Amino acid sequence: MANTVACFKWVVDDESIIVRDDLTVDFSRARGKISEYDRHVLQAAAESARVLKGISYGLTFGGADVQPALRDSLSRGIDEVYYIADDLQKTADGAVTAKVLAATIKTIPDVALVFCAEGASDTFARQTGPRLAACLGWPVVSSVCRFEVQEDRVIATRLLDDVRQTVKVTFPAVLSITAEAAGAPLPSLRAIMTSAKKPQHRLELAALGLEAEALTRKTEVIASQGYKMVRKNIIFDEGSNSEKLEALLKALIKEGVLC
Amino acid sequence: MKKIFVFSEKKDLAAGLLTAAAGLGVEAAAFAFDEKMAQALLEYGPAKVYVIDGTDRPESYARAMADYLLEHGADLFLVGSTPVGRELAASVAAYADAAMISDAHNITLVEGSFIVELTIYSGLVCRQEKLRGFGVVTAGRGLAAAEAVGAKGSVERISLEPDKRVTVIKEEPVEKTGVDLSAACRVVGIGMGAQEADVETAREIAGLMGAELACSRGVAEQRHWLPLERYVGISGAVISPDLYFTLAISGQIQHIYGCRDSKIIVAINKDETAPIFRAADYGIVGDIHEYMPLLIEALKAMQADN
Repeated sequence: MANTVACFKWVVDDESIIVRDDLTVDFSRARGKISEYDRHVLQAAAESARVLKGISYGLTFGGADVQPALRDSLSRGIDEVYYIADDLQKTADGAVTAKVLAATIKTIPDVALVFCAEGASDTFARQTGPRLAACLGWPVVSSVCRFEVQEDRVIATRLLDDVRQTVKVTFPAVLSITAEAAGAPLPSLRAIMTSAKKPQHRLELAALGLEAEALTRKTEVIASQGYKMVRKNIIFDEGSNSEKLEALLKALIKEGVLC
Repeated sequence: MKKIFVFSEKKDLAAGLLTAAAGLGVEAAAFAFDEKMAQALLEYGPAKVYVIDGTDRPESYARAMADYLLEHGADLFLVGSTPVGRELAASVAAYADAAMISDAHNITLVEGSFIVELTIYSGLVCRQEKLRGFGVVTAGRGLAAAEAVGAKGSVERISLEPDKRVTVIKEEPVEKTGVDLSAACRVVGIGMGAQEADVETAREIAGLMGAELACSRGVAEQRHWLPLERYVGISGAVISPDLYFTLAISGQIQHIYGCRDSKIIVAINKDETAPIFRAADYGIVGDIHEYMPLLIEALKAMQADN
């Protein structure tokens, strides 16, 4: 039996972040969500586990507020979820995250394949898959847009800048996938209902055996500021459709961007 | 003196990164996989270009490169932000147990420390981070325009051990339409509020405007109406045209990140609450199916007048 793991992240929904006029950032109304790209990862792990006749596990390293992510992930097809809920995650960088995920994966039995998204929708740093593979001592294949799981290996197609590169790698391995590689269907009502009964395994950060240095980020954040576009925000709302369009085109000609 | 190593499998990108390194007043070196590229990179000022003997994928040398960088006193490994470069960079960072910052907009050297500017939350937040010790940074072509300064360094061949656990079975060229949205002066974008038949109408409008046709991520990735190379957004094309004319694009933050450097943004969308209107200079609240025929008519009339 070979099992799969889907690494996913509970992120701040960027639509709920408010950048004030003084460019400070207001997170007070921030909502959480499973990173959009990770929804594809959960599906990929669930489908692959069925091929391998194994168990699909979700894995997340989140803050103390990670609880809503667990039911959400379990409703997306995976069988069980492992999680670490510790506010250290709020300041963790890619190095810390990969070490925590790797240490957790080592506690999960018979893992053949670990799936990550190419990037998370908050930082979009695109590091976790390769870093995780290095921490585990496993090979990694990134930018995977298509894959086929076989008995002891995976055939994966990578979308690079100017070539589609097809590679093979034997288990265990880490795949960083793009959204093309697997669907991300909305969970059915039945899936949402049954997710409540699926196992959740909480691990404590302190129990993972990582030293303080491993849990210390390697960069120092020295400044952070919101970004706000300054735009004209002129709406043409007077007259017929033709008149509105004419006004728009005149404005574009005056701006020198249409001739 | 600080020492930066540079790598990209794309010559123009590697050249730009070397120019950025030169601007920091550091000693620069580069990795390359063939002599011709190494000779070309010398023009951009590195003291050394190390040609790695081997034909394996660049990513497969990550562990060996990490060891080499640490042994040779590198302070920063600056890597081109391509799929190959990003995997290599993150792997090197992990093997070296080092920091990594992705998609840097700017790098400065302040009191002996590298300060890197980046954006997070789909561009809503700009951040400056200081590297502690050796670090890895990825960056695209926007970091610095390549500037040849004349060769003064030398090429040295080195041998590094590749990791052969990932085997290439085949490589096929990606069929591209040749579109380079990042260089377009005008872009027409179509979004998820459109129907499939609207793509051809939008294409006609783009043709009349002398614009490239683009789309939001969902149109390319979920609906497959246009190729992936035509979607604008944080994970797609980042554009800076004079005019970005959007049709039925809602304007989610990740899309806006990809077009925020446009000189003028226009929105036509029937949803008056769509965030695209906050990002637009000019807008009309209305159904694109009513406005697209009128737009075609008006653009044709403008062409006839010219």
